[in-house]
Amino acid sequence: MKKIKEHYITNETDYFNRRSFIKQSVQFGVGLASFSAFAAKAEGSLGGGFADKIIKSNYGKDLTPHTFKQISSYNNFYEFGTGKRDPAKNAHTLKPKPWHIQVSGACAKQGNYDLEDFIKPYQLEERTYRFRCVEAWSMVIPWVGVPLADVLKTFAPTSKAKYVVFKTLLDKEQMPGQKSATLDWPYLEGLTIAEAMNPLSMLAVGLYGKTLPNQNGAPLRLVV
Amino acid sequence: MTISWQKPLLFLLLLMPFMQLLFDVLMGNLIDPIEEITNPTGLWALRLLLLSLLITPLNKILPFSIIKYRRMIGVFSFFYACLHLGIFLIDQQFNPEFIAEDIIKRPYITIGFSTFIILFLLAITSTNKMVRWLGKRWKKLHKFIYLATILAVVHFYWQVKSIADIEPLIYTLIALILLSFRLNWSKMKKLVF
Repeated sequence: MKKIKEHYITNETDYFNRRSFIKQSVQFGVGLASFSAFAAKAEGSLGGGFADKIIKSNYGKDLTPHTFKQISSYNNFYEFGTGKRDPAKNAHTLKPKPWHIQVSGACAKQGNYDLEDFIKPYQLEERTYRFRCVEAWSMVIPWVGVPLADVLKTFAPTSKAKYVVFKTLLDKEQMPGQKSATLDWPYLEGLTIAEAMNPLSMLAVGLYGKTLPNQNGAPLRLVV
Repeated sequence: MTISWQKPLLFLLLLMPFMQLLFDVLMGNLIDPIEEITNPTGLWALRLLLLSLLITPLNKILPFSIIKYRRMIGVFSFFYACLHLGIFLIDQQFNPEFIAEDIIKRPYITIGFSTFIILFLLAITSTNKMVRWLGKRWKKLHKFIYLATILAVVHFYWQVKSIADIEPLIYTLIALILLSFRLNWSKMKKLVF
């Protein structure tokens, strides 16, 4: 089996044990990584589409989404700078492909997964949410993703597991903001199992029907 | 006699940040208007304050006089400070209780508000009539710009997200350099030696 480099792995079972994740903005990834700085600025140059069909859910069907330009140019992603307009300018250094996710901790199915394999079992859904950032702004965003509850069911946390922890990538070359001591890196987020099982929590892989721009948290981000 | 173009041009240049902001507001480009107006207006108030401090030292080395531009720069600094305070008041819904509470309980706002008061006093005494009426007192009053500069950078530093942020550090260094130009070095030498 091909050896996976430590720094490419998102440790996801901290995913099952503590708190964290990228709550920052999402971005376009797969297939567009090297052009994402460009793509993020030019309206209409969205990322690649998804090979499989996306079901439109009823979530947020009466909400008016913000524009792609707004969503991809105003982001909280300290790994790429603390200004809200910084990630769109700086996130082009992120390489969202290949991307690996490590699942570990108090769960039945542990392991390392390539993102594509990780997401494959699930039906992609479009859900439009009013996304509220802890920094007191919000936007209506048409996410593409899967319910977090479904993913948790796959990995089956044991009765000992109290939390799901998300730990993001630690790579100062890809994420220059990590060179600064603004926060402790890698960024951690955590949910109780109950919070994680909430029907609204989802793992997003896209927005507006295409893969995430880098600044929006490509290639996979938590929406909770 | 021809009408000189310099002051009108300077006026337009100094107005540009405001025009950009107005454009963004009207076009609905702002996601979080409070934050996105507070930050640039605060920054421009500070930048123009520092620019106004640069005039006198620069005037000493240039072959032509630029003192006549200092007032416009200073008043524009006050203008941006007004917008900056204005957004704060809007955010507090013009509620005197909320405003007083913030000013009293949050030190960086106490400092910000004090800075504004100084700038206000300097702005209202910036007219020709006021200069004549105050006479010698005018210069003494306007030396408060140095205190305002110090308070402004402290205010900026205090509200920053992380001490690792270099932006306020750069402004502080520039402020210190500009303030040091105004120190009377020969007087200080006499005191020390």
